[in-house]
Amino acid sequence: MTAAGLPAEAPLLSVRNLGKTFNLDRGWRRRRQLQVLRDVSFDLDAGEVVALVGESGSGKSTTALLIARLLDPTTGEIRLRGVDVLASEPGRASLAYRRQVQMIFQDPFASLNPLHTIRYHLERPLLRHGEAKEKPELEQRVNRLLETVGLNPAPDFARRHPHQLSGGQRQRVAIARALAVSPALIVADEPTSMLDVSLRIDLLNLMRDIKSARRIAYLFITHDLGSARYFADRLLVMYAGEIVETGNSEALLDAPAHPYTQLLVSSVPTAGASLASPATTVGASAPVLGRGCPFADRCPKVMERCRQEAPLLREIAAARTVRCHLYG
Amino acid sequence: MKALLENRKALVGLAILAVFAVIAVIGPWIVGDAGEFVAVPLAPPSLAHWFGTTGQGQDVLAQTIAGTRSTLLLGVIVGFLTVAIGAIVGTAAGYFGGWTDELLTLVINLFLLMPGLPLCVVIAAYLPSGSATIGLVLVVTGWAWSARVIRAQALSLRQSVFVSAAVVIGESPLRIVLLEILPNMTSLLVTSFIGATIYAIGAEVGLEFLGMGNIGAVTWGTNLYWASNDVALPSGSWWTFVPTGASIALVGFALAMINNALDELSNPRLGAERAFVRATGRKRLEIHAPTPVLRTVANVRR
Amino acid sequence: MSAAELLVVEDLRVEYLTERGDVRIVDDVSFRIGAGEAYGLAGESGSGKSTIALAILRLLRPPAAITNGRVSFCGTDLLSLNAAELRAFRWKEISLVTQSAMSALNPVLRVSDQIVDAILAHERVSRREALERAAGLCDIVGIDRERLRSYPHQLSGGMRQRMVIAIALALRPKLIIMDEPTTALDVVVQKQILKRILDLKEKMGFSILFITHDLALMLQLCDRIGILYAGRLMETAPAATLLGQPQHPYTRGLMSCFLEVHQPKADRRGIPGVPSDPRHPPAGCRFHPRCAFVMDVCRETTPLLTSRGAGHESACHLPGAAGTEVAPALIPPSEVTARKVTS
Repeated sequence: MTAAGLPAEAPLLSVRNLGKTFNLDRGWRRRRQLQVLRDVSFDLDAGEVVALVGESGSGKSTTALLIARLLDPTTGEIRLRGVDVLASEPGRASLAYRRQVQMIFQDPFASLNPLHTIRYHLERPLLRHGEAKEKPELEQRVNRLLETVGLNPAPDFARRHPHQLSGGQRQRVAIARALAVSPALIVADEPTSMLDVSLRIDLLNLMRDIKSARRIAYLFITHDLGSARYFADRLLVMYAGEIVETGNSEALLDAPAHPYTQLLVSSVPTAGASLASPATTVGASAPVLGRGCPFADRCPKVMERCRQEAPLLREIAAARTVRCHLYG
Repeated sequence: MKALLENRKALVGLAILAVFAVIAVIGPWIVGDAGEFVAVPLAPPSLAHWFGTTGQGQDVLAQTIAGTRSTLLLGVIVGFLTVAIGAIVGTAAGYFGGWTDELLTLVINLFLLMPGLPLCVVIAAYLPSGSATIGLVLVVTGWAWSARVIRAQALSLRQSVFVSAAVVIGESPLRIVLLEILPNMTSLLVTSFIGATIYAIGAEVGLEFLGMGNIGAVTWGTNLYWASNDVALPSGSWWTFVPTGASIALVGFALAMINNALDELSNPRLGAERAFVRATGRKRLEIHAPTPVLRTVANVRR
Repeated sequence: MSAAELLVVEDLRVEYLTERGDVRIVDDVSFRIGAGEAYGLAGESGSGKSTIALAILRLLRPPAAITNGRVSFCGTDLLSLNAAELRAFRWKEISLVTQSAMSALNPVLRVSDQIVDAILAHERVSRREALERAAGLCDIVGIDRERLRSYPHQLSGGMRQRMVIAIALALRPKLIIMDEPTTALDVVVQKQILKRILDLKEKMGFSILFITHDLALMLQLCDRIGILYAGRLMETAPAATLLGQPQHPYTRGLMSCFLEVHQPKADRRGIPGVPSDPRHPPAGCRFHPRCAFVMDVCRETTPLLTSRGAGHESACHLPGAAGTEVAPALIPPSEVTARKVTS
């Protein structure tokens, strides 16, 4: 990979061999380390929705924080339109990067400062990035943002403080804030998981409408396979800090290839299906990080080879990759 | 603020404080030179001298009033500086983390380890005596306490999601500290300030009582110093120290009341429980009792 | 319904008595649970479902108060018991499993001690016997006996939740209230635990009051289901009936909010509007501001639960008994048939 490639053809976001290791103890003598992310690579095109799915501890939220530049990776590259941003702007991300990549957080009750009004939350990105300067223009832009996310009457919502809004309304404000700088990519970390079921679909619909109107790409982090299917074009399944399967969201969920994905899909509660259906025998519930496959201990199809050597991500069909010895 | 004025404790505290504030501002004009020798020493309270006279023959009332200004002023200034330095160091450590935090925490801990009052005595003995010296000594030995609490809260606010959200939209660290983190610590800053002020007044009086201040000046501390020097207690001249002592106690009480009220306001549970007690007519609320069954009460109220 | 009725809740009303007026969180809710039955209460946040669970056990703290109704368990009136009687009653007769296992377990005690203490507090057995029972419980919930010696923080989330279930089973209660018991867990572990619970229920014959926002999960686990909205019971029916012929527009709305793993990629709509503010509930039917079929009567009169078929009741002014589709538009026809096939 050279940075000299044609920038026009480079994908919007390109992530290569991303890894993150946390130091658990801070001490002089012994340092325990926790590897939460290993060798994560994927591309994301303009206007595309890619969902990162997996259980807690799979590394999906860490990936979101790395791409939002809230955390520095231990290894790997993040390229935005072909530019290696970790090399060109180490440490703090530049304003230019912030303008391109925005984030929506999981908890709408924590992501807005309780002391500031909604207007303040939406004015700040506009002012910071020089989108609007004069007062009338600023007010107009704030109102338009609120209308875009369906908070009408906008002037009324602008005046309020976060505690005067419901969870769903706050999450809409968070979306409006992300939209203020007209980003190319929004990292959405479980944006609906803390909302009531009856409000989730409309929020996803809103995000989808915005996508079509403005050609915004999403990196959608979720543990809910149903929403992933509904909203995403492509799926990346993560387990123990690695991507274990990728593919078109419908194709992948209809015929999961990796034994872990199969287990995950079959475990989703389905109205009308019996709980007793296909008995899944699962061993130790925690992944084991050794030299073999981290899923080996839980895998119903485990082979001798799985404990000896870690599988690589291989292409098994068009736009379909799997990290499993069963396939090659 | 409005809620504060509706709280009975806060109201009592603020009222007492207001009286002393007025005395501090206009008192010295009324009583004139409090150091003047006006009557025979150790005269008991009389119509001419309401609080009697000191061992030097000065008017006790005048001295108490004159002492208010310097004592309160020093207390407030020391309280403010202690919290201001604590806020700067604490938020810097909490926000930036890493090496900045480790270094600043080390400095904070060093200052915490210093035994405060004894150190005050030693330093005050070496510097020219006076209010400024005592203030300086109190700030140097006191700031680390507030820095430590403020650092802890800054650290937790640094990890809050709305701060991450501010980083993502590209806010500068300074703006995040000043407009996102500090405003959310208002109640901690205010209670720290009140606590530091109480401590400062107490310590100032203590140091001056020990003779570490400028004994020529009229403050609450020197009042007590002279009372002690002139063997007020053995001679039974209680009026030489009771007015000053009572003033100190009242100011401390008023500040503590305000702190208490702030505590209550930031804990809505206390207010909710009072409302419940009022609604049900029960004498008190038993927190660990089973859920009350109140058919009649609710029906009567409706 | 059946003769072996275990829990009867009638017109239960729970209010928060606050300075700014009383807030009704649970409004005249009635349901019954039979022996060996799994009854589910489904609802969103603010529906009052957890409040009901805590009110039955009288664990709600003031300023909450029960201001109307009757709760009777095997003939015992729970609302007239005093503190000491309730202490003896909880765990022994009805136990509770909540979402956060960590807060149910004491962090500084070994798990074994916590189970043993629970047993010793209620039964006259020796410590050794209690310890043996604890080991037996581990086998039942599917944890290695060795794990008994662990402290809560040494266990994974799934194991902790199993331990809490083990403690809930320790005194062989007749009813276990499970309030979002698996919401904090990943789906794989969730399925394992729920299967285990169903197996245990078959074996030991206790009843379950299951509370969750996840209707799909509830349809898999429960025999009968009640749908709560803003403190009122909107519809109650056997699980299969509810899945096949939901009557209430709210229930239908909730059903169409499922995003399933294998559905075709069709456009979906959530339920419009926001849940009502419990301080200012709307007049008439609580759901009417969000209802697509709202009529004039809905704005004025609160509908009561009326029978729509065998064991099926709905609180809605829309006519229509079970089986008749009043408003098929809410669920795409393809889905209705798809669901019927799977059920």
